[in-house]
Amino acid sequence: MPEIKLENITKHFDEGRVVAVDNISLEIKDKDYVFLLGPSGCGKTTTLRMIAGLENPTQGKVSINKKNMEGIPPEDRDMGFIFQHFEIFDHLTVWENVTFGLEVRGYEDDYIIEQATKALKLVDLYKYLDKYPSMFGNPGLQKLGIARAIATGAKILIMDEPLGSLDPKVSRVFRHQLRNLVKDLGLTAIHVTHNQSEAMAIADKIILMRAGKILQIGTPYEMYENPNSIFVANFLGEMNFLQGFVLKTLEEEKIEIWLRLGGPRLNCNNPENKFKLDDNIVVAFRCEDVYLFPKNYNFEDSKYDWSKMQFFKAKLNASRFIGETKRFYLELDNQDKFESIKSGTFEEDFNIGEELTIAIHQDDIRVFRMPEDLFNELSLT
Amino acid sequence: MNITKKYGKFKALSNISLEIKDKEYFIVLGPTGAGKTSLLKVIAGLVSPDEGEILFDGMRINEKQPGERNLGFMFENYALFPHMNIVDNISYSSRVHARNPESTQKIVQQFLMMTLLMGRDDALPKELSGGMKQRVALSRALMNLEQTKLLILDEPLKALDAGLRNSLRRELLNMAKSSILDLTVIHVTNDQREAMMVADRIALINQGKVVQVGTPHEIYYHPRNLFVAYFMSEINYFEGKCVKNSKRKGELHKISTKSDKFLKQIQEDSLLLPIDIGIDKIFTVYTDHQKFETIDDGDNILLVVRANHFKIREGNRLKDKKNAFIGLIKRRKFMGVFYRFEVLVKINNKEKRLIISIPATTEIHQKFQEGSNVTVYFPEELGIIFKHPGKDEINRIMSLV
Amino acid sequence: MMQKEESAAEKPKTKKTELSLTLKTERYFSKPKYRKILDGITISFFVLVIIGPIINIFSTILLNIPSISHDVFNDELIGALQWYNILESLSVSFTIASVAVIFDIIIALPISIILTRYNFRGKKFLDAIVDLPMAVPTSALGFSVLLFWRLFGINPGYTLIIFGHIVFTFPYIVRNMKIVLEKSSVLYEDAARTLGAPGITVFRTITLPMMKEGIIAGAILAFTRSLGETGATIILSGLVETAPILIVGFRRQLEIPSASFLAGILITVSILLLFSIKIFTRKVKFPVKRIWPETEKYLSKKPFRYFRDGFSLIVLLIVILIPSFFIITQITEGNLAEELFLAKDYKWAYLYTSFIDSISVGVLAVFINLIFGIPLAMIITKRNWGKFITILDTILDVPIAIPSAALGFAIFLFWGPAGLNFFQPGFYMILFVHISFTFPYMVRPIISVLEQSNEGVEEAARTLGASNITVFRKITLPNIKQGIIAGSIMVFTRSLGETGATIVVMGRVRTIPVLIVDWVEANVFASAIFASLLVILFSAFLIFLLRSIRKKGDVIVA
Repeated sequence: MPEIKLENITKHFDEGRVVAVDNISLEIKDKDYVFLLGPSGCGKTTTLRMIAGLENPTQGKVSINKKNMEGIPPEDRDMGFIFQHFEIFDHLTVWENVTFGLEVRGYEDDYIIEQATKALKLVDLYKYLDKYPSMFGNPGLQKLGIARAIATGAKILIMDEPLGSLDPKVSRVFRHQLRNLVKDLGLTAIHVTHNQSEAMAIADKIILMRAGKILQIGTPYEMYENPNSIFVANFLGEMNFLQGFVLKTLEEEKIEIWLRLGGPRLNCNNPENKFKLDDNIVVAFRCEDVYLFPKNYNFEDSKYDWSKMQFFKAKLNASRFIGETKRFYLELDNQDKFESIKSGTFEEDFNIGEELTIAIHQDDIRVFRMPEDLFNELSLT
Repeated sequence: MNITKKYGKFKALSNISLEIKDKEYFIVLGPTGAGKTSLLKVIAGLVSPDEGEILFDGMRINEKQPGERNLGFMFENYALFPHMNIVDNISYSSRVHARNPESTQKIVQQFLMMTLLMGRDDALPKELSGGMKQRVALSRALMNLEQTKLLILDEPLKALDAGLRNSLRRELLNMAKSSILDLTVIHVTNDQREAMMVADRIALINQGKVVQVGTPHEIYYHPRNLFVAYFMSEINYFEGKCVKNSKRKGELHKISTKSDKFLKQIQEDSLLLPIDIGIDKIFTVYTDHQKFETIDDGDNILLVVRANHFKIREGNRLKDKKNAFIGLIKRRKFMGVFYRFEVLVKINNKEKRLIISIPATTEIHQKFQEGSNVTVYFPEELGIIFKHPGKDEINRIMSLV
Repeated sequence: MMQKEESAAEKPKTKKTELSLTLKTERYFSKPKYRKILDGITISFFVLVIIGPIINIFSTILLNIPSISHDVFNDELIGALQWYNILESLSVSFTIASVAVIFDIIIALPISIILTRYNFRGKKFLDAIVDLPMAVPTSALGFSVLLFWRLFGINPGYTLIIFGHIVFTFPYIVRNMKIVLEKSSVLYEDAARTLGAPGITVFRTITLPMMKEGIIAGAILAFTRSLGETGATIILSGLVETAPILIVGFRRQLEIPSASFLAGILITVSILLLFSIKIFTRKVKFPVKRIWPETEKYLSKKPFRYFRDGFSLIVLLIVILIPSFFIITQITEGNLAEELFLAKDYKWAYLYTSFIDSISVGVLAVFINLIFGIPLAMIITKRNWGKFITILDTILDVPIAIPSAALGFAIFLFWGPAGLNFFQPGFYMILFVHISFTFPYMVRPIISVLEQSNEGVEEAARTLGASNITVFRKITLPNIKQGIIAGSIMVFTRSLGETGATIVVMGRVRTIPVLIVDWVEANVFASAIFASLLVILFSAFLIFLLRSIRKKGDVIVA
C-alpha cells in the first residue's frame, strides 16, 4: 500500500540563493496517478527527485508508507523511475537493460526471467531482447525505459517528462497507453510535465506548481471547472479573460458587472458576496462555453431554458478549422478580443465580419479580483 | 511569389515537387526524420539539391548564395550567436549589408519593443528565457527581409513549454497575416495540431516524400492514405469488404442545412458505398467518385473513423441508427474540452476497443459512467474508406516506431 | 503497442536469494566513509607526486640562497656569467616558443577548417598524418628535421630549433581547434549565411569567436611544450642554449644550486603564464561589430579561398609533414649493420635494453596513473566541494605547463639523495618522474568523457537498486572506457618520447629518446636513424589505435 507524504518540504540550491521548492506539503494515495504540473522552473522536477531520493530536501520530511525516508538512498527506496531522456544503458542489450534492476537486487534467476519477459512483452519489445538499444528511435527507447522501470516489480512509478522527448503525435498515442499500463498493473504513479493537455488526458489528480509553491490540487475536472486563480485557469486550458468592474450587487449572491470601456454588462455569481461595488475584476470563461447564434436568432421559440444565459453582441473576425474543433475569433465593441471553440460536426456556419449574438451560461463565467499585474499572471514566460 | 522545387536523390529527400503561393502560410508537416529540415535548407541554399530546380517567381535560383536569396530563416533552437548581445544579433544582417546605422538602430528598437525586451540591449542569448529567445530569433530573421518577403521557420515553437506555445503561436500567425509585412511563410513542424492551427495549406511529408498537400479541411476529411488519417488525429480502423453485388450509384444525399460548407461539399460530390466489417449490419459510407470507381465488389477495404466523429447514446438501441455498434464503456477520462471513452465492442466475435471523444458537457459527465452500456455510431459522410493496404503496412503505420 | 497484462501472471512471486558476494561487498563499501578514505588517498597521491616536489624546489632555493648567490651572481672566476647565461637562455626559449606558436596558429586555422568543414577524399588520412607527430618522440622528430633541412644547408642553430618546434607543437594546436570546431554547431554559420554574410565575414564574426577556447587551449599547450622541450632541441641547437638545455647542463656538471634556481624561475614563469593567459583571454573579444561589407565580400571570392587553402596545405607539407617523416628516406645512409651490430661497443644491446626500459616505464606509468587518475577525475567532476575543486582542477594542469626538465629536477631534489633520499637516479626515479608529468594527460581525457557522459544513466541505475560502487563498475566504467584508453595512450606516448626529464634523473639507465640524442651527438647516424624509425613506427601504430577508438572530438587534452 504505497502512500507518499511530503511535509513542509523546502529545497535550496547554491547555498540558499535559489529556492527551488518552497515549503510544500502533499499526500499521494495508493494507486493514484498524480501529476506535478507547472511551467519550466516551477520546482516540479526537484520535488520528484526528492521523492526518489536523488536530491535531499533542505527542510521537511518525505515519508513513504508512513516511513521516514531521510538518509535512505535511492537504491533502497524501491521505485521505478522513467526519465525524459530515457537514460538507457547503451552498452547493454535490451535484455540486460531490463534485468539490471533485478540482478542488482539479487533475485533468483527464475524470477528475473519471468519478470523481465513479462515487462518486455507488455511494451512489445520481447522480440528485440538480444539487440542493442542504439537501433531504436525515441519511442522504442522510452518503451524500454518503461519496461526497465516496471520489471523490478516496484509499486511506485516515478516519471520525469516521460513523453517530453517524443514527437507530438507519438506522445499523444503513448499517453493513453501509459495510463492503461499504470492502471492495469495497479501502480501508484507520479508524473512530471509542463504540458497541460497531457496532464488533463492522463491524471487522476493534478498538483499545479508555480515558483516553488503549490497553487492548487484536484482532479482534472475540479481544476478545470473551478480554478482557484487566474494563473490556474489560464494554465489548464484556453480561456478568455476580459476586464471590467462591479456595477451592481444583486440578491442571491449575484453581481452585475460591466466590461471595460462600455463593453457588455453581465450577471455573474458572487459566492459569499466576495465582490463589492466598483471592485475591479477579471471575468474568465472557457472557449467551449461560448455559444454563437445569428444576430437575430429568436430564442423564445426554442424549447431550452435560456433564463440563466447571458447574451451580448460581438463581431466575428475570423474562424479556423482545427480538425476536432473549429475556432472562432470574436471582437467586442470595446475592441477586446475573445475566442470560441466548437467541437463535433459544426452546426452553424457564419460569415467573417458578421455580427453575432453570443450566449454564455451564468455558471460558466468565473470572476476573479483584478491582480496587480494581469500580464504577469497570464504570462508563461 | 512562387517557389517550385523538383529534385531527386538528395540524401533525405526524393523527388519532391511543391508550389508555394504568394502570401501563403505554408506548413511542412511530418514526423522526426521525414526530411523537413533538409527541404528548408535546400530552399534557403544552405545545401544544394543533387537534381532539380528551385524557382522564386519563376526564376531559377539554384546558384544563388543563401545571403542573396532575400529570405528570413529562423532555426530550430534559434541559433542565436552566443557571443553577441541581442542588439548585435538582431542587427547582424544590417551590418553585413552596410545599411544606414541610424535607421537600423530605430528598427532594432522597434523590434525590442515588440519582443518586450526594451532596455535589455546588452543581454546575451543565454540570459533569456525560451520565449524571449524565440522572439529575438524571429526579429533577426525579419531584419533580413527586403524585397522578397519569404520567412522560413524551422520548428519555431518546439523548444517551448506547452502553455507558452499556444500564445506564441497566436502571435506568429497574427504577424504573418498582418498587412504591413505581407509575408509568405514556410513553417516546419512535427505537431499536427500546430499545423492545423496556423496553416493555409499543409504538405505532409514522410520518409523524404510528399504524402499529401492540401488545406487543413482537405487533409482532415480526405486523407490520401492511412498514414495521413492516423497522423492527423486519433482514429479507429476496421478491416472489411465492399459488399458483393451491391455496388450501385449512390443517391445524392439530401443536404442538411445544419452542416458546414465543407461537409456539404463532401455529401454533394459523393456516392454511398455499402461495406461489411464483420458485424451483422451493413455499413454505408460516402466516398468520392474517383475512389468509388476503383473499389470493386468484394474488395478488401479499410474503414477509418476518427475518434471525435463518433456519437454516443445510452443503452443498446442498435436499430435506431445507421453505422452503429453496441458496447460497454471500459474507461472514461475527462480531458477538458473532450471526454475520451474506450468502448469495448464485438467484431467477428472478437473484442475491439474503440476510442471515442465526445465534447464535454454536464450531460455526458452524469450519464456515461465506466461500465455502462452504450450505442456508438458515426454519420455516413464521416467514414473514410481506403483500399486495404495489407496487414504489415497497417502495423507499420500504427506502431510509429 | 502496449498490450494488456495477462491476469494469470499476477501471482506474487518475490523469492529473494542472498546478494552475491560481489554485490554485497560493493554495497558494503558504498558507504560514505569508504568514499572519504579513497578520496583522501587520491588527494595525498596528487600532493606528494605533483605538488610536493614543486613546493620543495622553492624551499630548496630559499635554504640555499647563499650558495645560489655565490654560484650564479658572485663566482670568483666568472662573476655573474651564470646569471647572464640564464637570462639569455630564457629569452631564447620564449622567443622560439612564441614564433613557433604564432606560425602554427596561422597555418592551423585554415587546416582545421579544411579538416572539419570540408568533405574530400583522403580527409581521414590527412587528419591522421597531422596528428602523428604528437606521438613520435621529439628527439626522433628533431633528428628527422635536422636531416631534412641539412639538404638546404641549414645547420643546427636558432632557425633550425624554430623549425623543429613548429613540427612537434603543430598537432597540439590543430587538434584543439578541430575539437571546438566539431563541437560548435554549423547552425550558427548557416544562420549568418542566410542573413547575407559572405564567407570571410562568417569566419571572422562567428566561427573565430567560437573557436577562441580551442585556440587558447592549443596555444598554451604548444607554448609550454616548446618551452620545456629538450630532446629535439639538443639535436637542433648547435651552440644555442635554451633554458631546459641549460638545466640539463647544470645537472650534468652537478651545479645543483644554479640548476634549482633556473628550475625555480622556469616553474614560476610557466605557472604565471598559464594563469595570466587563462584570465586574460576570457576578456579578449574579437571585433565582431565592425564589418567591411565590400572588402570582405571581395575577399570571400573563390580564387582567394583556393589560394588560402592551397597555400596553407603547401606550407603544411613542406614545413611540417615532409620534415617529420624525411627520416624514412634516410634508412640507407651509412652502414647500419656494421655500426649497430658488428662494432665492438654492442650498440644493439644498448638499443635492446633501452627499448625494454622505455616500454616498461611507459606501461608502469600508465598503470599507476590509471589507479589514481580515475578517482581524481571522479573527484573533480562529481564532488561538490566548491572552490577546492576549481583549485584542484587548475593545479592539475601545472605538470603540463612547466618544462619537464624542471619538473624532473624538482623531483630529483625532493625524492633523491638531496631530499628524502627515497630513490637513487635510475629506473625507478625515471618512472616516478614520468608518472608525475604524464598524470594530467591521463586525468584530462577521463574528466572530459565524464563531463560529457550523462549523469542520468547513473541515476537510473541507482533508482533500479544498484549501490554506488555497482553503478561505477557496471555503468560508469563502460561509459568512460574511451577516455581511459585515450588517456592511457597519451600517457604512454608522452612517456616514450620524453627526453629532458629523463636525462635529469636517469643515472646509468638510457631510454630510447636519450639514446637517439646520444648517438646523434656521437655522430653515429645510421644507428640513430634506425632507432628513430623503430619508435616512429611504434608510435604510428599507437596513434592509429587511439584514433580508431576515439569518437568525433570527444577528448580535449589541455
